[in-house]
Amino acid sequence: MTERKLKAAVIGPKSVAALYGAAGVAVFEPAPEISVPKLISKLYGEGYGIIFIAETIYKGAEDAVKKYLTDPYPIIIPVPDDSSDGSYSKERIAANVKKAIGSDLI
Amino acid sequence: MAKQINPTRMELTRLKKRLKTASRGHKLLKDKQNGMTKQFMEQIRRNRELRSKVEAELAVAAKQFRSASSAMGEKELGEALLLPAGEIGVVGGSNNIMSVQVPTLRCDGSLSSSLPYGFADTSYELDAATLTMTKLFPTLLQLAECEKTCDMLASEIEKTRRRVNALEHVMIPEMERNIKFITMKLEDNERQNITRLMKVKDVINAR
Repeated sequence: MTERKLKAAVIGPKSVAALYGAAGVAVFEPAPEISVPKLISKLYGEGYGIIFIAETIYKGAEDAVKKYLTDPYPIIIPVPDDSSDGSYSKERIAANVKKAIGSDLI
Repeated sequence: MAKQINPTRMELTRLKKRLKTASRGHKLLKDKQNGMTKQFMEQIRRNRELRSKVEAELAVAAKQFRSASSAMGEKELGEALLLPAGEIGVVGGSNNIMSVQVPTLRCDGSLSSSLPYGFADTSYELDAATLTMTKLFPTLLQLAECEKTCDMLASEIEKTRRRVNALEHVMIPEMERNIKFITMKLEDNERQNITRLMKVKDVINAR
């Protein structure tokens, strides 16, 4: 695959989004009129290849994210927010190990 | 099932060819699975390290950001960040790991160290938070690349393992059973023919 320019976006509440916004990442706050799966699809269509999602929102949109699992892009990863304690990302890593190896060796 | 197949030489030849292909496929898939598992273990270790690093750095940035918010006030902070910082360019490509296309990311050009707001009404905590996030961005990209690679490899390994198991425990044993059944049936037919010929010879000799 040839290289192409991508844009990065973050979906999250104001407190998380502002942090990324300061670093130059496009910020999108969840709104009642557009669901997270639709927002992901819209962002990908607009050239956002990397989408960071706040953990609490990501947990609710896991099924929508699975749809993009077989393709290299978009890359959708959860990032910690105010209420996260870091256990979710460890669970995800452990789930991946279990899926691949059959048991959580690490 | 062995009893539903045609016990013919043609069927036997066909089954032997299929068994050969299946055995070769099994070996290739097993090698692919081992290769992918090796790559996966390397990636997952890197993923854990990057995750810990990113979470620690993000916690620092969030703390600085909260300090800035309390020092400046919500409204002033919002106003300072109203103008978006210059968009960070990212170049995406792909890499082939055991025929799985995984993404590769790199920053396009150097990261800007300038701040997207004036210094008059902002606090140094906001500067620190912004600079921490800007510095962290390349690591965030590495994490995104690594985590997606792990997700994709885990799915592919699971799929390959299912195929390997299906070949090893279902298809290959079934084909071997069928081959054995046809071989025995053909040998049985051969013996029947010999017996019949001997009987016919006896009848002719008795006349």
